[in-house]
Amino acid sequence: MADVSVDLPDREGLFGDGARGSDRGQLLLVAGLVMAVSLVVLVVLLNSTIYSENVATRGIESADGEAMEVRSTAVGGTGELLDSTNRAGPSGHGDAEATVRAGVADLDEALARSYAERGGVARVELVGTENGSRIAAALAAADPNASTLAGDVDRTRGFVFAADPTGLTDTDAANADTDAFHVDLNASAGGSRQVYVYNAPDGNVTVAVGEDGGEPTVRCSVPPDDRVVVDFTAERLGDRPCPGIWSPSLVAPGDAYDVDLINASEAAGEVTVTARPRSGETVATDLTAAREPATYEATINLWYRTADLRFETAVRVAPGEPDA
Amino acid sequence: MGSSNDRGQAHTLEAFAAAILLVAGLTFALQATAVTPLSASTSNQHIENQERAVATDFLTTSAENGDLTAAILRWDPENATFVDSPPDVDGEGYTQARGPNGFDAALGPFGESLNRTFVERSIAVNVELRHYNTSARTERNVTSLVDMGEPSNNAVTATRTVALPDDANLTAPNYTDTTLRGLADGTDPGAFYATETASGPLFTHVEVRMIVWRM
Repeated sequence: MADVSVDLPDREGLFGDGARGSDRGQLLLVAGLVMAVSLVVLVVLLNSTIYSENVATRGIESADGEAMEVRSTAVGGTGELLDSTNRAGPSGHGDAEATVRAGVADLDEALARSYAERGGVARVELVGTENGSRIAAALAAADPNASTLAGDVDRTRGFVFAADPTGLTDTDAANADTDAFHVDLNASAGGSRQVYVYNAPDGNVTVAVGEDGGEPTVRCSVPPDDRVVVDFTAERLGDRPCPGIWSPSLVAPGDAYDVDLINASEAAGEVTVTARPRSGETVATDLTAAREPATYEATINLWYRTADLRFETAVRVAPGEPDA
Repeated sequence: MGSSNDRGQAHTLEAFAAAILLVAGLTFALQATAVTPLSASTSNQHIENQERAVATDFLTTSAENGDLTAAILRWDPENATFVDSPPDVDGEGYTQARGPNGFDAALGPFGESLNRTFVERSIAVNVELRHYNTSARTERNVTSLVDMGEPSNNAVTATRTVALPDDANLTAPNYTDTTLRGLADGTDPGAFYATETASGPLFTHVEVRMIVWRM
């Protein structure tokens, strides 16, 4: 009979040397711990890298915004200065320019004082001005049929008609060209645009636009109020935007154009415009009694410096010009 | 002999690893506090950046369409407060939204935008008007337009300076014919909150400072 008995393996036979087996288990444990620690360290390092990058980027963004803020403050202040100078009715172009120069110097002091508190150095300086005319008149003063509000001009801003809705004629788009008050923008290089203002059959104050005397299309309308303001250059009717009033070709034209008032007897209200003549300093108009010398635009140099930022720019300021 | 040496080394390594693990665990636990929108973290930086950008853009658009100027001229010169500011306010400004319409009634389009942009999203706003006492600009005065309380540590600010002309009319009801020049000369009754500091046809420059924080 064959011997099938097998000796049970002893502990040494199965696990080898006892001391070596427990070493191996301990090494596995240590390796596990080392890996866990490495992963935690990796996560912490990654997080701090992302955080540092975020903070670094944030600093630059803030500084950029501050320069833009200084710019908008300087442009807004100069724009208000130009308009208020012109509204005050200067005795001549020299007087207007002197007022603007003094105003910009004062703005410079105000800005310098204000930004010094934040550790910035701001400076504004007037480079120069361009002269023009401001015309503000009741529509009743214009010829009932046709008159030139501003002739031979190449830039127009702040062109506003404050309409009395009760004085507007009642008509529709199809008959507007003969019945309604309108502004005719005539380019010397050819082409014209008509902007009609009337009371539509639905009772709303309506603005319609036509090209070269063709049938107009309605752009926008608002319910009547005490006064409804049509801003031709800012392209607004009342308190709403009304895009498409001003001709894109007349935003910054190379040639002169005329601004004419047609059928003035079909509307009531006041019209105001500031324009720059193609040549000379005074705008030609049929409403000479309502014309006053004005500063059309100003160019300012602007500097702003902080510990991290240097910003320098020249800006042309002409508030209320149509957007390109 | 060799195996007992190995074992000692392993014990040392294990002790070091355990110590590092304990320190790392403690560090991690200290940082792992409750994260709120106001906790210092990467996301909080982002929120601050966003709030600053929104406040700056808000002031820019309000200034462009004239709402900001209209709001800061909504002054009752005889009561020396902004129109309709509630009587329980300690000061001249508005407190948080009165009723469901918030600032709408009191501040017009500016208040309506303020509500839509910030208050309805649980973001508190203070609006301060900063102006100088004399044309020498020696001292700064602050008039509160909107006062919703004490800003938190994570508040951000945005500013915009508005130039007010002499012939600007107040926008407060019953005072729409009152001009800043008239108030300064005494031809119109009452007084404006800012003194005349600018030269020529301008009256003053008012710095509008908006302080924004998450409630």
